[in-house]
Amino acid sequence: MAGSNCLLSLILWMPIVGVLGVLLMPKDKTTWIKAWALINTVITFALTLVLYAKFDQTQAGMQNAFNVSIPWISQFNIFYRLGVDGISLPMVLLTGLLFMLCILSSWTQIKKSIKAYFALLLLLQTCVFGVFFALDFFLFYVYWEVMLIPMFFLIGVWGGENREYAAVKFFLYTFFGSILMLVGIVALYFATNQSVDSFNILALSGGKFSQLNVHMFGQTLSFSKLFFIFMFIGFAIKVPVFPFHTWLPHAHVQAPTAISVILAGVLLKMGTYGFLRIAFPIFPDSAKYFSTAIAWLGLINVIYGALCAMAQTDVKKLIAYSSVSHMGFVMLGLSAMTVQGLNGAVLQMFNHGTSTAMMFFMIGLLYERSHHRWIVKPDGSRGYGGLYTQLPVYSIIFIIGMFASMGLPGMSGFISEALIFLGIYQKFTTITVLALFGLLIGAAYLLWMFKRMFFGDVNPEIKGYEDMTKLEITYMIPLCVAVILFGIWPSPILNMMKASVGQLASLLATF
Amino acid sequence: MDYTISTVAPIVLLPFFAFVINVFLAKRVPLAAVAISTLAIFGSFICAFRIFLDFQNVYAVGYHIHKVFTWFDLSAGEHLFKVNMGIYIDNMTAVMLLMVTAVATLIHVFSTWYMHDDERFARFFVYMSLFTSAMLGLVLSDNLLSMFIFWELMGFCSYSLIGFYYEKEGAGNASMKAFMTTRVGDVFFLLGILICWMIVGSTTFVDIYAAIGAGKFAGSFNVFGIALPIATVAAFSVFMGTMGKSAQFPIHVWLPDAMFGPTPCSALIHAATMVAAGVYLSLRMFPLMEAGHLLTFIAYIGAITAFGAATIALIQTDIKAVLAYSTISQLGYMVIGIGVGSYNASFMHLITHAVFKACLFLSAGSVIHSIHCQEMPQMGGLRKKLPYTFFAMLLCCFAIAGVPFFSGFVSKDRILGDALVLALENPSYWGVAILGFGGALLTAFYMFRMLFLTFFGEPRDHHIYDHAHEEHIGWNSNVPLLILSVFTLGLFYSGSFTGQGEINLFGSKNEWFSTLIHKPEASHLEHFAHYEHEDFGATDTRDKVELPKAQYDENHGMDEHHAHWVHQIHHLGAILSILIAFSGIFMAYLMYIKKSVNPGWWAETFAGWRRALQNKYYFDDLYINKIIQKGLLPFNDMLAKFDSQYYDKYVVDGTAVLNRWAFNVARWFDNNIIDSGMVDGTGASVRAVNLILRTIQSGKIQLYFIVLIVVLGSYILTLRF
Repeated sequence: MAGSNCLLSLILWMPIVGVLGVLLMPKDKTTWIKAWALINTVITFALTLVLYAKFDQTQAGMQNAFNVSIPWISQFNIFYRLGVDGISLPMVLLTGLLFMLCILSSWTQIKKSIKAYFALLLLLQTCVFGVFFALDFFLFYVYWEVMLIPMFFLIGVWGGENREYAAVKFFLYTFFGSILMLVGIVALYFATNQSVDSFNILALSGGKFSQLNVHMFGQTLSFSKLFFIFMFIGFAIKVPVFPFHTWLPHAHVQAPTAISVILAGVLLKMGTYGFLRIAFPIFPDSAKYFSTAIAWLGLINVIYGALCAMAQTDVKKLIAYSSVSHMGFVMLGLSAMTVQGLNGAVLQMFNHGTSTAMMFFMIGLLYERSHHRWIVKPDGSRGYGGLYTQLPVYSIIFIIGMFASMGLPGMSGFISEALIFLGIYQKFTTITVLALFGLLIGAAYLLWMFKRMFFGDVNPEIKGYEDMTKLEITYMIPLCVAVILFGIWPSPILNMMKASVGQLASLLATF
Repeated sequence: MDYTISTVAPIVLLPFFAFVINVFLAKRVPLAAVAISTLAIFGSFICAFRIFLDFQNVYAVGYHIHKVFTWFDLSAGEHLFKVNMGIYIDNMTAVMLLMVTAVATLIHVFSTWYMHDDERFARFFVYMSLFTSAMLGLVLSDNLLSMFIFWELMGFCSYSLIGFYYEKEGAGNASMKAFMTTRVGDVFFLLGILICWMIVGSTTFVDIYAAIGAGKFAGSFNVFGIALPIATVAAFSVFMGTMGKSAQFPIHVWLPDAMFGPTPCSALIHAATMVAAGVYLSLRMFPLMEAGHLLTFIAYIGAITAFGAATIALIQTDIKAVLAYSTISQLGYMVIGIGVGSYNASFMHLITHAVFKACLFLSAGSVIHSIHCQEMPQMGGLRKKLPYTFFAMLLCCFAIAGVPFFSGFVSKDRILGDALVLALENPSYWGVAILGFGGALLTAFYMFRMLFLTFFGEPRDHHIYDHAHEEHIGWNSNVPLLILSVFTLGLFYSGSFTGQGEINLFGSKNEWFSTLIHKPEASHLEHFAHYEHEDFGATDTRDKVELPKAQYDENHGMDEHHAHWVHQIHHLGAILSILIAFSGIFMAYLMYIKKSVNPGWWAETFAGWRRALQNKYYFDDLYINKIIQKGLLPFNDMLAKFDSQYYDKYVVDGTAVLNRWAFNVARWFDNNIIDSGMVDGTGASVRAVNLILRTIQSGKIQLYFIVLIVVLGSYILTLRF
């Protein structure tokens, strides 16, 4: 390995170096641990930027300059294959950025077992990078699964009052999906006669299984359709697509702030990334076949998530349901399978990552001050009220995040949503018309929440709250810049992805 | 004149940069922020004025500037998709730019006085700068998409300014109501944009015109299995945007509440510019409205709005509420203008209304600022204390009431005249004409009712009256009003006193407005396909070419006989308008000055009507109490409850019960069949399996995982070596 070749491995294993460092440090030197974790994530983020700089934006598909392929378990033709293309690069950049900010946000918020927390957080980062880089299906699966371990502990140990339930639920739910995916992996392995490329995602893709049948329970089923459904459920749980979404409100609400940010900002995107990288390219015929169903599920996500969000009185739960709604837009873009729809979906994955991360950070900051999250308390009195007067700086940043999340034109969310609508309108008129109302409800629940929390006279309970500290402002600024900058000038992100997305759209168009 | 970036872009960018700078400056150096905002908009005004003069001099048919740049490009391989942005300046844009920048400059100047003792003085200007740049961007847009972007940005500014006094509970409700109500229209507008985008391949106006001319909108739109003509759906969707922004029935409910914001922002945003942007959109998309056969619908929406809002204004006691309803009503007239096809007059009314309504709001602001009260029953006799404000407001009331020689007469009379002509030709338009003239009567009445209650008679609240300051001339307090009030004279718009082109004054160009503004005729839409556009940096050389000058066409393209008949009807309409305006004013005079007619008697006699008017025809009640409180919110609660209490609790967590049951079966099988039925030696291994099963069941995932990893790890290791 020389030159650019080792860059991916470097990014991938950099956080593990961090984990080792954290583990070697004495438990009581908390500042050292935090500083080390921060330095580590900064370096990682810098490396992802180097990757961005070296990335050839005109080239579609995996970039040979970065590809890594080393035999790992040769008996089963399992390779250590890494690669990056225009679809994974935005996600990699987002991961690098968000983990760095999460370290900063955890700086003062995490008080117990600091050493373990930062070690697990960095371990999580490696797993996330692994998912986005892996080009070997087995390797992908290993990262996908191992990621559950740090997630389980991060929610189960540092979470809120009902953390065990949420952690177990998150774990079992995702695990259930992974098993279905594993069945799919094994099936593909045997369908390709256990050849050298049996786990090679790139070699598997292209619709090679469209004619294959499988016999099961005395029936002849289409191999492609059957295992597309398996993969679909596996990824759909992660997105989460209705009706597999119920783990999300629990996990989000119980997780500590930084973990909610990672969960909403990056982990949900792994589901949609799975569609783009695995389910769609490997089974393009079935993807096409099921596209109407996927679109309807996406629509249900948009509307159902938004309506449920409107009914919430816990602000974090409200944002959690809004994620369900916004990921529905991604599903809509995916189901369109047109160049606008797919570009919109990938852009929405990135933009939702920044805007929803902002919202979760902001709610975390508020929680630190108030130690509750009620918009309306269970006894009917208001939880906040008058925050605008009490916390002016906080309010302005909150407004930026809120309107970005709402998809206000001029903010990042709008372009992705417009592209998605444009993409889907070509295929499903009725769904487009109905999904547009998602925008309306989306504005309604956010503004209503904002009105109840920020307007009006100052609630005596919030009189003592301090406005944002310098550190807090520091780590919110990159996200503020991102949501505004990419709303006005989306080309940096779009140029990165368009060649690869175009290739995928062409593949899907041939079926 | 050379239209390069340096001459056009500053119109938008100056206020935008002022906004960006002020975001950081507002807190530290408030006065500098105020100065920067005001100077920036003045700079825009200078640029816009240059463009206006140029267009006014060129006076050419179809002269336009269209510059384009690529915003982003998704083309990859065989997929070609690119989104262009650009500026498009034609005669209408030039007039609109001048109006917006001029009104905004004067309102900025006025705000430096009105807001100066507010603790958020500078923040107000931050929003105002963002707003003006968004509004100017909208006017300069060459396509629907960028128009929508600026449109929503204005919505955001409007939201922020209505909620400017955020300590008040009502401000939160009002701002949310405004944003959400207009968003109902915006969602449809976005649908309209998508439809146009798909059919035309871009959202640029000229491309859409050309596509309509080429008959591309002939297909049908299938939704829920119903096929609708696509032109009608697209036109309706775009018009819904207009209805939201321009507060047309039945989604007009937000505008009266928008008066929660500071008065200068009401003047700029909720009277002069933003609400007029809806009408501007429909004017731009006029060929689509025509192709969609939507004009009758539009005319009726406008007529209902114009008349209905005027009736509500009759009984308002808050001075700003009267003005708010009169804004809705006047916007209704503009929409009638679109509906009856009097493109030119509708746009003219947009401009004249912007001037006199801005002036009315600033005058109201001046009154409110000096007596700290908005309720008209507590005013009275302020003529002596506020002479300049009174003068300005008087001229504006003449203008809005449609008194001859004033701007409102010139523009409104043409709309009503055209409505009358159309009604005579097509009986289905009679309702529009009657409601239009009826609304004019009410307008004259309620405006003079407001004027008389405020400025005439004896002071009704001496405490308030005595505390009012004597008004002196101040460059930033009443000079802006006086400047605006001068421009309520009709000759600035018609070039003649009467608006009928008979008397010319000061050598002004006869009917410059009619000569300048042309309806994109349905029969000539095809030639838009040949409209050229150039790259953003390119230098325009056409000013060196002699362009054909437009001439004022007395007959408006009609044949001699028909034109004569139309002129006759217009004269009739004008006489009717004058009669109506004076009778309205006279009624108000009888009631509130001479007091020979008792308003109380009317209130008692028509108590039922009065109650309906007080409740604004129960629209708020219907939308908020019925649809939202009784419909949407309980439904949401039900859905959320279903999600967490039933679906999650029983269906998802219910699988655990299934698991436990399977485990019990396995244990029973294990105990009774295997354990007792088979040799004890195998029992140990079965128990081990049972133990693993139980471990999973107990939720000790860590253990499970350790097992998984150990197994996996050892497996890999044995394979490796």
